[in-house]
Amino acid sequence: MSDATNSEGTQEIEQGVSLYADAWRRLKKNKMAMTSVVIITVMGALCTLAGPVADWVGVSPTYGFRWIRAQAPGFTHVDTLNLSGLTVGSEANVRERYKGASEVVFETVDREIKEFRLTWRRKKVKSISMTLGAKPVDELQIEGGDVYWQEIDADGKPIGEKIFDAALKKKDPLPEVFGERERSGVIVFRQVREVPDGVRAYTVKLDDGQVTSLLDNGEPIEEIEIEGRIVKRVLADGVEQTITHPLGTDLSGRDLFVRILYGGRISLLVGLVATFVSLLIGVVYGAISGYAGGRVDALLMAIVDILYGIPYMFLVILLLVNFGQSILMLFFALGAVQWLTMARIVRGQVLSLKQKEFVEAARMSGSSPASIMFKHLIPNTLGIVVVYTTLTVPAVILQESFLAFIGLTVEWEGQSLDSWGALVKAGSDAGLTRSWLLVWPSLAMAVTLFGMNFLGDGLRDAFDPQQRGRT
Amino acid sequence: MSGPNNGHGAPSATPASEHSEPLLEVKDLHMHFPVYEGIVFQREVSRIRAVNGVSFDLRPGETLGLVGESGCGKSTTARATLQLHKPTSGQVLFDGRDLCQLHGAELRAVRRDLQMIFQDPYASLDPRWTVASIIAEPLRNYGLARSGHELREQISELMLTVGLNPSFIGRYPHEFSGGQRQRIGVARALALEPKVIFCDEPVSALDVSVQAQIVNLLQELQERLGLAYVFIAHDIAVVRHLSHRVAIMYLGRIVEIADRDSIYGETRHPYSKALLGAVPIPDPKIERKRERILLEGNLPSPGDAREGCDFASRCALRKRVDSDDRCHTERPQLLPLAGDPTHKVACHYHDQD
Amino acid sequence: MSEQGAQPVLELDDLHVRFKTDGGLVHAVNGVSYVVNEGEALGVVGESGCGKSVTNMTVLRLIPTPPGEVSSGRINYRGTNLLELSAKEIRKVRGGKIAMIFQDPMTCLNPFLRISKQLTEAILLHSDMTPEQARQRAIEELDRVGIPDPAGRIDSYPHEFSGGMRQRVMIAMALCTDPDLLIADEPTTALDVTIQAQILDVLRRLQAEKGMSLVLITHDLAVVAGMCSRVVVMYAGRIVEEAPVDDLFADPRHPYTSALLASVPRLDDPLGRHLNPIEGLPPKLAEEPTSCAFAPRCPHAEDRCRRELPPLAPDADGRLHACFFRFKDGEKLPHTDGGQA
Repeated sequence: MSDATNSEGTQEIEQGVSLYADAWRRLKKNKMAMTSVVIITVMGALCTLAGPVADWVGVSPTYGFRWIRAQAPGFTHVDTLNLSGLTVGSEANVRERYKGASEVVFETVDREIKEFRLTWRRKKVKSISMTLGAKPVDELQIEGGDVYWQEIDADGKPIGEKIFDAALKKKDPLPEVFGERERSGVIVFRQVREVPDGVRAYTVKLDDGQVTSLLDNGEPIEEIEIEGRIVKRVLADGVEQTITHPLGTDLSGRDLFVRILYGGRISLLVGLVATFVSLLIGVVYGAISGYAGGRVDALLMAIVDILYGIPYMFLVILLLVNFGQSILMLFFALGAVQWLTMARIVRGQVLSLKQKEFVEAARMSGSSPASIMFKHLIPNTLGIVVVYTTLTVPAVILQESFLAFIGLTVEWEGQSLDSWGALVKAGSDAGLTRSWLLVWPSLAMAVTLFGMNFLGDGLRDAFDPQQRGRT
Repeated sequence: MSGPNNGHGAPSATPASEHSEPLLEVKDLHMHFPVYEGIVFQREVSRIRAVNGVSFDLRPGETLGLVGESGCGKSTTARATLQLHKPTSGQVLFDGRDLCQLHGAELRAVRRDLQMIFQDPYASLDPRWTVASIIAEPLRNYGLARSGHELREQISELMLTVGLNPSFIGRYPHEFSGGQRQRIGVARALALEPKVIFCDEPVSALDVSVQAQIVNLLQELQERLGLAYVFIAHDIAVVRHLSHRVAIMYLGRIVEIADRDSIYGETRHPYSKALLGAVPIPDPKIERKRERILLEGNLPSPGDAREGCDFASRCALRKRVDSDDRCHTERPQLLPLAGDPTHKVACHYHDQD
Repeated sequence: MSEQGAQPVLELDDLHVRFKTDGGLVHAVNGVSYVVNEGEALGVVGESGCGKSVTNMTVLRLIPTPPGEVSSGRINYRGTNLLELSAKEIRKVRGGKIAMIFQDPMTCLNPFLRISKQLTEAILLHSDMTPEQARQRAIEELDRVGIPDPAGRIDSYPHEFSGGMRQRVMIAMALCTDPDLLIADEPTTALDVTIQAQILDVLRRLQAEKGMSLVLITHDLAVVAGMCSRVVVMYAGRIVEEAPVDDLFADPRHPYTSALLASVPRLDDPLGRHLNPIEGLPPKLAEEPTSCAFAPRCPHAEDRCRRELPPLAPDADGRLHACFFRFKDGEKLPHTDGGQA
């Protein structure tokens, strides 16, 4: 026995180096490809962590600071947020960043609210009483400017006209500005006036995210309702809170960075899932076609050829329009288009592999056709499948972007999910003066897609059959 | 230089089992591959007649050498016999049954006894499987594989049998040399303890010095295990070394079949003579003196059907003796010689050279 | 038949060639020297990895550099060092004075061009003929190599010829510029034995007709026996034995040569001869050998063989081999003279 005892110069390692390990080693040497891997991993991580990142920035992807409008990258402002439904004893309905604090102070514009109650009989002013004061007055002068009086209903909600100029005097007829009224009636008007340089401090005391007490300028109250618009400063445990938008905001005041990350989630998810769908269908279809050969192969490939002829974009649009713009439909539609090429590629590989002697050997060993297909043929196509997959993902992302560009976005739970494509469209609509809205989403998409393509190239080189195994 | 006797005897001209019943009988095997044309309705345009009526027997423990040049159909004969391609017609009798009629599970059951070793050491092993999986595959398929530690032992034993270090059990094919890969192929073929192994050019792709290792291995295994081989090669010297009987093929037919001594000492068919004469011998003095019969022309296409002898277009003997054009009109049958019924030749004028 | 006294056509002097690979440096050729005389046929024998192909591709500078490089040595064609020529100058030599044919004719033949174009291109590059003259010349060469109906077939494409015919076309292409020297790298390895006989016959005939020198590279000792007058045996990038052909086969001096001869089955073997394989595998060539590269596989190796590199040195009778010993009739004797005893 010649080889049993001789060392043959090969390293005496027990475990062999599989072809995957070999390819990985070759891939590691390819700087371009490894850089791409890093880029893609970072992008993927960021997008997955979009939630925590949003909390860190202090925003949510759908909430827009409408009064800020579109601002350039780096814009900093007070964290103005609408506070509503804050009651003592409930869970604090505030942003994450505040939940850990023990005391949050919202300094708002101080406002003065006046109300008066006007009664008249037979179209003559009968009484004017200041409901927030109690003492009735005999006359009231309403002057113009910003500080108008607005009629409110029994619940305090504004209705009707705003009154700018009027003179009210007891026993005088009802001024015309009040419009047509009945002969007798009662109405209440309210005036809200900002006190210049006035500050009103609402204090929220928290314990572990629960509201323990609410103070209004030191006075305890049960409930707070504030419009974000009037908040001037927010202090959490004495530290002033601001929001900085690293990449600026869009026209509705939504933070762009966070939107890019959430958009990336959509784009990447669509890319990966649709590709995966096409992979499953394409690999099995192609393998069966290639292995069966003959008439079956001719028929299956003829079907593929016919399907190829259908203009796929129209098909996708039709599907989406008719069966609903859900994200599942998008996965299906895009995947349904890509599997064709995958099937062709796998079939070609299988056809050439079929000739190889190890397939005949497997038959001689008693393996069934299914076993041969799944254990021998398909694993040997994985090299090319992996390469093609990394090239399909960016293609799908681009297709989805195109759909978004023409306005075909997907919705989920009633909300429009904006992918990178949608962001790019919004950016291009926003015009050159707000270039950041176009530049940053495009850059994110471009970098990711380039990375995937370079990775695909690198993988192709790493799996190169010429370098495989021949010592 | 002849080294010490390694215990590898060259096969004696008459193996002990010579008079026993044949293990495998191939009768009038035909293998044709149709060539189709047409997009939707495929119609047969021509056929490639790879094997045209091949018949032979194989006895236990014997080696039949199948020799011929490219296009002669020797590899296809092996594959058709083993039902890797379903033969167009003919019978393959093994163990009392005609393999051509068997399918599916029945065929699988018989496959245990008929195995094959392949030519290309690179392509005959799945590059993604470890040696362990490759050798275990036949065991698993037939339910012979034990598990865990015992399976490892089964595999290691097979590896030792073929001369491989069992510590390489976890390695992949590309980590082995060509000769070692062929050994893996042999181990795989032995796993099911077959009675017959078809060796399809098992050493052609190997280096000269490694060829000898594998040839010795095969011989040794035959002696130890009583295997019967059908040894297919184009290297006639190797075939002669290993075989008890030799068949020479040309264009899908056997033109001459005889035991080893006769085929070299008493060559009758003009093609056989040309073939054997063309083989160079590593001895300059002999080479200088040799008179070769150089064949003219090319191999005719395997697609055409012919009436007469396939070799007629290139045969020097025909030119000399065939006055009534019998060679072109009448196909010679494979007939035994008068003095030696085991030696058969397919030629009208073989006794006239 | 070699003609002594005249300047050799080709002379290799201490050639060293290495390759930079992923796994490190591979020393493919480690000090090869030999001579090809006028009209002589030299056989270069060895198994895969011994460096025979690399050596001969280096003559025509066909080795890609990187990753290959000639680290030292000279290659003299009639006195001119080919390694020092510029790229333009070597192109004039290639295909002109020195021609090469390969195992696979499709490495030489462009499948998209008719062979008339390919043949005449070579002729026009290396001569002053007109296209019509070149075409005539091409037809003559095709006839000379035995292509039937050359005038009719010259306009065919390579794939319209069979394997053996393609090989002949490749030979014709190599010879139509009337080279002094033809290097044939495994020209018949891929061919059937009857076709091989035809091709070798063509080469033999052409050599005789044109007085051309031939370097025949092969692993098949039997082919060399019938074609060559002198033989060089290579192992691990070095020459281990060099001798006239009759002497080599009758009385091999190096253990590798004899082992090789013993491991090959012969058609005229007496029955019962055992094949003696050479145990083990050829070395990996990761370093330049500092001891005998064959020692691990040599049945006669001694301590000295594993420590020192045996030089290629002549015996008392002038036979060259690289071993500290020599073997006669199974007896191990010291290498007399030349080397160290």
